[in-house]
Amino acid sequence: MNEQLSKLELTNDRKKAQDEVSRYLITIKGIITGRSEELAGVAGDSQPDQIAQLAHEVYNTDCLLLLIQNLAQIEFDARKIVGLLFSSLLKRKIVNRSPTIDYLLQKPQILILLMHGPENPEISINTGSMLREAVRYEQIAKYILADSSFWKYFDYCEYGSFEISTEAFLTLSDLLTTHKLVASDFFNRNLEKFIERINKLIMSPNYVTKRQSVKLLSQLILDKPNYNLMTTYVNSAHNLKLIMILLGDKSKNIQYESFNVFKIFIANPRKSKSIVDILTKNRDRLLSFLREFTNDRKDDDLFLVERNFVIEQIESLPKLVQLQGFHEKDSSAEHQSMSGETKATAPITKSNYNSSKILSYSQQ
Amino acid sequence: MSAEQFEVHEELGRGAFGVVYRAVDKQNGRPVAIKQVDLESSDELNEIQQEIKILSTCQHSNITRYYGCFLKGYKLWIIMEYLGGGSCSELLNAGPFGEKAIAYIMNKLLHALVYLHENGKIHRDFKAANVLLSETGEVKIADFGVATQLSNNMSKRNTFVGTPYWMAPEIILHQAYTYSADIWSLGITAIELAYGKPPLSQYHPFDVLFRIAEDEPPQLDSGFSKEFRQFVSQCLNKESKKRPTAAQLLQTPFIKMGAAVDPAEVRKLIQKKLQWDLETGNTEKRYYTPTLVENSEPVFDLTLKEEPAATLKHDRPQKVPLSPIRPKSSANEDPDVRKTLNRILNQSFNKINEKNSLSTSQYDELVKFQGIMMDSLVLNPDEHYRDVFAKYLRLVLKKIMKLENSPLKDKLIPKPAPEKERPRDEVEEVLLTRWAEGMIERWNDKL
Repeated sequence: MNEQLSKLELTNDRKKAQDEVSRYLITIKGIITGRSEELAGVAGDSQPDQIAQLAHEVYNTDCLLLLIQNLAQIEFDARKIVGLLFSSLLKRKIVNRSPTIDYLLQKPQILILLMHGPENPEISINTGSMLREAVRYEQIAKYILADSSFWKYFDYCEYGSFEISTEAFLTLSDLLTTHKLVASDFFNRNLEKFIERINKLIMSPNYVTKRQSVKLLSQLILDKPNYNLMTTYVNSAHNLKLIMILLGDKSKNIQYESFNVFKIFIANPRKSKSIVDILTKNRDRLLSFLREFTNDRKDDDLFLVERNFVIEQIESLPKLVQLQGFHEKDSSAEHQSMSGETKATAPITKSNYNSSKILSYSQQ
Repeated sequence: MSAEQFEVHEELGRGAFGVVYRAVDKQNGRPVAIKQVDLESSDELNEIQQEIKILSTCQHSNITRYYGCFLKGYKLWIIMEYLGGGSCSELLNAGPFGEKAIAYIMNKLLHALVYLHENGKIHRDFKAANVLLSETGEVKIADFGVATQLSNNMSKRNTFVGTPYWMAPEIILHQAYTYSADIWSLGITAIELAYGKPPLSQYHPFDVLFRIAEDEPPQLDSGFSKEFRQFVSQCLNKESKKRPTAAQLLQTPFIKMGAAVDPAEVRKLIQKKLQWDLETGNTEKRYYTPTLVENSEPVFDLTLKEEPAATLKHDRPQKVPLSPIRPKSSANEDPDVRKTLNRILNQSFNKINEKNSLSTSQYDELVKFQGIMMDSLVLNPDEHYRDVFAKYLRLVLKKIMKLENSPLKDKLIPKPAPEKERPRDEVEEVLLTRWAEGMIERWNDKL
C-alpha cells in the first residue's frame, strides 16, 4: 500500500504512475466492497480485518492527503474509488469514537484541500461529495464553518459551470442546515457578514442560484435556533426591498420562494418605520399582486392561509394620501370578506399582532 | 459553453422533461444533441442536478457522452453526444430486428451495465427508446433522467420509477430493489427488439403493472434460437436474486455470439429505417424557436425618499432572439397530392398501430395494403390505371355507405359502442394508488 505514495509523486512518468495508482485503488475497492475478483483466494470473512488494516495504513501514511492532492492526475474512474475509500473510512467507528474524524481534525490539510475543490473543475464533483460526506459529522461541520475559506462558498455558488455552482451550493446548504445548533452559533457570530453574502446570492443574475438561495434563506430564517437571524433580517428595509424585487420576478418559483421570506416581514409585530413606509407606499400594488398570487397553488392550504394573512395585514396599513388628491374607494368591505379564515394563522408571530398600532401610525 | 455556440436544428424527441434537439457546435463542427430542460416547470431542482451528476461521472463507450451544460434563462441546456442512427424504438417502426443484431446490441448494452453497476448506478429506465445507435453501428444507453446512485451505506432503493412495461416485478411490488432491476428491463428490451413491442403492450399501463407482478415471466416463442430464449429467460427471473449480474450475462452463449457480430448488421437496420421513412413519407420535422422574453419594469416601487430611484432599478439583460433555422427547401418534384396521401396513410397507420398493438403479421399485412393504396393512387406510372383505381375505390366506398343496417357497414364504420371498462379489483386499485404515489414520491425523493 505504501508503494503507491511514491508512484503518485512521480509526475514525470505520469501515464505509468496513473495506471499503477488505478491498480492499487481497484484493490482497495475490492477490500471495501468485499467482492474483489483479484483477491479471490482470500476468504470473505477476513474482510473486517482487512478494512481495519487498510484504515490503519491510511492514517499512518498520509496516503489520503496525497490521493486528494493528486486527484486531478488520477484516472477518471479511479477518482470515484478515492471517494469510496473516504466515505467508508468516515463510517468506521471504534466504541463511540470515529477514528477518521479525529484524524481529519488533526490533519486539517485534507479538509482544507477539499474545501478548495470548486476551484478545480475537473474534480469538483468528487471533492464536493467527499466534503459533504464529512460535513454529516458535527465536529467537521463546526471546523469548516469556523474556517475563513468557508466564505468562499458564496463565491463558488456563482462561479464556473452549472455543475460547479450547484455542487458548491449543495455543500453550502448542507453546512448551514444539517447541524442546527452549529449553524445557529455561526449566525450569531457572523450575522452581518452572512446577510450581506446571502443577499448577494439572492440577487444573482443566475436563475438557479437566485432560486436556490432564496429558498435557503427562507429555510434558515424559519429554523427555530436561528431566531436572531430572523429578527435581524426582517428589521432591515434594505432586505425588504430585495425580497420585494424577487416577489416581482417573472419566475413563479422565485415569486413563491420569496413570498416565504416576505410573509415574515409582514408577520413581524414590530416593524420599523422604513419598513412600514415601503409597505404603505406599495399597499395597493401589493394587494392586487397578492390577490392574483395563487396561480398554481390552489391546493396548498397552508400557502393560501398564509397568503390571506399577509393580505389582511397589508390591508390594515394606512392608505397613502396622494398629493394629487386622488382618493380610492374604501376597501373595507373587501377586507372583511378576506379575513374569514386567517385567524389561527400567524405562523411566525411570537406575540399577537396589534393592528391598531399600525393603523394609528402617522403617515408624515 | 453558451447558447450562441450552437446552431440548433430539428427536434429529436420530447418528454416530460423538455425537448431534445439536434445541433452543431460551431466551435468544432461537432454534431451534438441538446436536451433543454425547463427548470421553471419543476418544483425541485434536485432531480435534474442528480441527472447531471450521474451523466458527468460516466465515461464509457456504450453510454452517451456528456459534454457539459449551461443555463439559458429558465432552461438548462444539456449538451450530449449526438447519435445519427436514432433510437432502437424509432428503428423498430420499420420492423423487428434480427437475432444477430439483437445479440450485438445486447452485448454492448451489457458492457454499459457492467460499468454502471460497478459504479453504483441503477439506470431504472431501460427500454429500446433509450438505446441509441450511431451511423457506424455503435450502441449507447441514453437518458439518465431517473437513474439513481447507490452509496455504500444504502444499497437498495424502493422508489417507484420507470416505465410500466419494462418495470421489474420487485419495483412494482414496492420491494427493495437493486441493480438486478436493470437486468429485468434488459430482458424486456430484448423481447421488444425481437417483436417490435414489449410484452403486454396491448394493455393499459395500469393493468400491465398488475400483470407483471402476477403473471409468469414473458418468453420468446419457439421461432427464436435456443440461446436467445435462454438469455431472455435468465434476465426475466421474477426472483431478483436469481437473475445473473451483467458481468455473468456477458459469458452466456447468446451474448458471446453477439460479440462476434459485424456492426454492419446494425447499419442495415438504420438503412432499413431510412428506406421506410422514404416509403411512408415519414419526414416531418419540428424546429427550434427560442421563446421571446420581453423587458419589464419592476413590479413594486422600492425607492425610499432619501435615495435616487435609479439605484434599485433591476436591470434585465435584453435577450436577442435567434432567428429560427428553417429546413432547406429541397426541390420536391412530387406533387402535393402524393405528400398529402402519404401523410394521411402514415398518420392513420401509426395511430392504428399505437392503439391496437399490431402483431408482426398484422403489421406486415397493413404495410402491404398501404403500399397498394399509395401505388395505385399516385405512384403507378400508368396514369389511366391511377384514374381507374380512384374511380373504383370511390364506387366501393359509396356502395358501402349506401347500405342500410348492413353488418358490413357497421364493420367499417362502427357505431360508438358504450365504453366497456371492467372495474378494477382491490389489488389493482392498490397498485394504481401506489403507482400514483410513487410518481409523487419521485419528486420528493432526494437521494
